Amino acid sequence: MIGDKEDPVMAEVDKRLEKLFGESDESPGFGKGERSIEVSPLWDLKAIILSIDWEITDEIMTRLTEQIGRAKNAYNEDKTILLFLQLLDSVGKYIKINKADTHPDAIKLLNSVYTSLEKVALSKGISSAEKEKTLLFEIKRFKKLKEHIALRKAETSKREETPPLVSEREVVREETPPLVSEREVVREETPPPALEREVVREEVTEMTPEIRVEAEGIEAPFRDEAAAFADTLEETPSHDDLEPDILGKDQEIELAAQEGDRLLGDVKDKAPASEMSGMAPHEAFSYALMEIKRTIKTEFEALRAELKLWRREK
Amino acid sequence: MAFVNLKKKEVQVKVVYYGPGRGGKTTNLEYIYNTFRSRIKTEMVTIKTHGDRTLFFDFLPFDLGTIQGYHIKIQLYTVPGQVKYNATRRLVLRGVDGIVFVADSMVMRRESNGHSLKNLQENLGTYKKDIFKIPLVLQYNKIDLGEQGIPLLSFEQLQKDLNAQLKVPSFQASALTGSNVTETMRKIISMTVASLRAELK
Repeated sequence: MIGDKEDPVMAEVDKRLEKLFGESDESPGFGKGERSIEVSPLWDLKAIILSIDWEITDEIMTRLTEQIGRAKNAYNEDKTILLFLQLLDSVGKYIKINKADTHPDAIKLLNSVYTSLEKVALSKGISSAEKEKTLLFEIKRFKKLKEHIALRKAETSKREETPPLVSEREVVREETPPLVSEREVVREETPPPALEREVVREEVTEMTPEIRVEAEGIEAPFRDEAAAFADTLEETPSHDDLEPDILGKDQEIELAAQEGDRLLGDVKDKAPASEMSGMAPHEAFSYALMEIKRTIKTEFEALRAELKLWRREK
Repeated sequence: MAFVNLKKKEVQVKVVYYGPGRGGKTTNLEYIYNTFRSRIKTEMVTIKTHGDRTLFFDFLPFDLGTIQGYHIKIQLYTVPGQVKYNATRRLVLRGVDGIVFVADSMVMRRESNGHSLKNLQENLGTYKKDIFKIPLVLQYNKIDLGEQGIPLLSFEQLQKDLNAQLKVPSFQASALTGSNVTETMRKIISMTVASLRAELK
């Protein structure tokens, strides 16, 4: 496959290649008006920054910090370059701490700041105004990255504060009686449609004896809609593969009632909210417990409805 | 087979830099472009992802000038090395005339070199090209990492792993510092043009 050296065409090709890519007096990589990086203090810095693109290790990041320090000494009279190095240092420290969780734009910024630094440091005849303009551009990008990071942190902490739905459902599952016996009772107590369950949950979480009556008022508008929703569920044949209905409706209601008694003792008072003001403290407390149970059941029914819909879609 | 325009008397030679991800294919082209841009007078086109990885390909065209009445245009391409981009790699290989296989000299990348070479053979097969017949140069990249104490595969080991059957020209190189980058490219261009001439005769 290798060309015959005596072939005039191949000789000409080699000549052209030599002309294009042969050694020359001109420093490679830099046009007129540029200084070679190989003799500048940035040479090692560039190698480190390029290696960060491959992998982020403590060793590389420590070397970056050291090299930035050396470059700072070398350029201690040039304030613009010092600021560039400061920017590199800040981004480098952020990457060192966060490693794989680093914001993707941080690596890009590191490369960009370095490229601008190289341009500013090695181009001959570049004006101060141009240097400052380049620096300001990078500072702007740095600030933007900081904003993005802050936003991401805020979103993460928000997510952490709000436990995922699944875990909440698990808690409910643990505290509530078996599904089969509970379902019919829940239907009787008019469950809200699935869309409303978040509102109800918030109310339950924040509910205190003082505002519970208000919560009852909030739930009220959903009741008609919820009843209609419950009716549709009843009209539709059950596809519950996990727990097929093996009990009669009456038996289920009876079991649910027993389970309710177990949870709440003898308290079966279903006094309307308006009557609460006249109750003794222990009665009001029992009433509140009942309400909470009812809401949990409602929540549970909504979840089951969702599961059914999901199964049908599947 | 290279694209030959008889009317315009123009020959386009396509050389593809192939190899495992993060092996230094793009760095090869970047070095060539940065070092010789004042002479080749063209622009390098590159499409990168978020983390600066090659998404589609890098492309560096340049003219070799007119030889025996034919205008020779060289086109250097890289492929994305990441395993998931095989369809793109195959696409870039369409119409390839010569290949530089950029292997990673790091010990930890030994397996990925082998997989990538095998992948090259398979993808060439889809175009009915034979890895044993196409102009091919092996480049064992990243030798500069040895100075930093990173364990590297020896030249002999790499030859045994990758070149035992192929027996093609090979270079130890550092795309980062430019060591043997130009030599690799010159070798593949020379071999490819010679191969094309042989085919056209």
